[in-house]
Amino acid sequence: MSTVPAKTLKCRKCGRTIDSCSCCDERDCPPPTCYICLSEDLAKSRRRLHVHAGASLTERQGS
Amino acid sequence: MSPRAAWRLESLGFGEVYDYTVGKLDWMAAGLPTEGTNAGLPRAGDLARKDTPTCSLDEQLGAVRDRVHALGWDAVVVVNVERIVFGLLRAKELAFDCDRPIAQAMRPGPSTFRPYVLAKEMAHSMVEHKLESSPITTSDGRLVGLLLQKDVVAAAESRQ
Amino acid sequence: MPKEIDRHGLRRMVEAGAQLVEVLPAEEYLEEHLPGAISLPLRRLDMEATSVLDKTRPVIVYCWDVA
Repeated sequence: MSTVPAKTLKCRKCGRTIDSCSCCDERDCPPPTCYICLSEDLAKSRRRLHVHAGASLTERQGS
Repeated sequence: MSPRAAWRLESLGFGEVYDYTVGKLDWMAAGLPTEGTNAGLPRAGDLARKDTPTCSLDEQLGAVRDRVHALGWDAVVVVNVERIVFGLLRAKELAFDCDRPIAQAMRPGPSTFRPYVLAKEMAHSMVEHKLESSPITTSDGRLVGLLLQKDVVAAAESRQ
Repeated sequence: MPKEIDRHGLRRMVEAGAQLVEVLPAEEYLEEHLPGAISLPLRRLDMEATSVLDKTRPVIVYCWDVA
């Protein structure tokens, strides 16, 4: 008797292994997405210009 | 940022400085009002159906199904007396044997979204993932309502 | 040492006259901010805090979240 392992599900953005899509909780979701990438997708439309390390995304390197 | 700002203000001679460390995100996640250009845009919490049917863990699936269908819904959120979300029963789960305990039938710990997520962001996600509905909860897990894809898509399109 | 405050304490203190300051960049403030908050981005704090804020009143600062 052979056992076929369940297909490993991977986040379509970052590739990490996930149990199910974090948006719809399904394993057969076409764009399975992990929790972190989903949070980033939802925040994408918010312009986050600050970087907490102190650098600005608009500062020139070395200035 | 705010810890550095708080310390700097103290060093500048401000005698009583407080840091709301959890910040704007905490405020919005609690469903509290804000001001600004985004403040008037439709959000998940505004559009979620507050009359979504709910049930408790100790109810019978058959009775819940009958009640839900009589109201014209095909999804019900499992909550406790504090409206903390425990699970979700969609059409597939509601079709189980009527004597199956709710705790066994439901999808436990479903994905939920915060009330402050903008309608256009929700619409994109729900369409991409073919998500017909999703519970909207506050940061302490309390049910705000069930957001329907058709409602959020209509709201997002009406702003364009 | 600055004291931490939660949103319940924040509401009480603002009602009692505390100054509420968002230290994120101005663009973020314009998009969305807490009711009654003023914008004082962290980079401008040194230059503007003493002229914009009242030292005799409590000040509450906030940004996006704890991260």
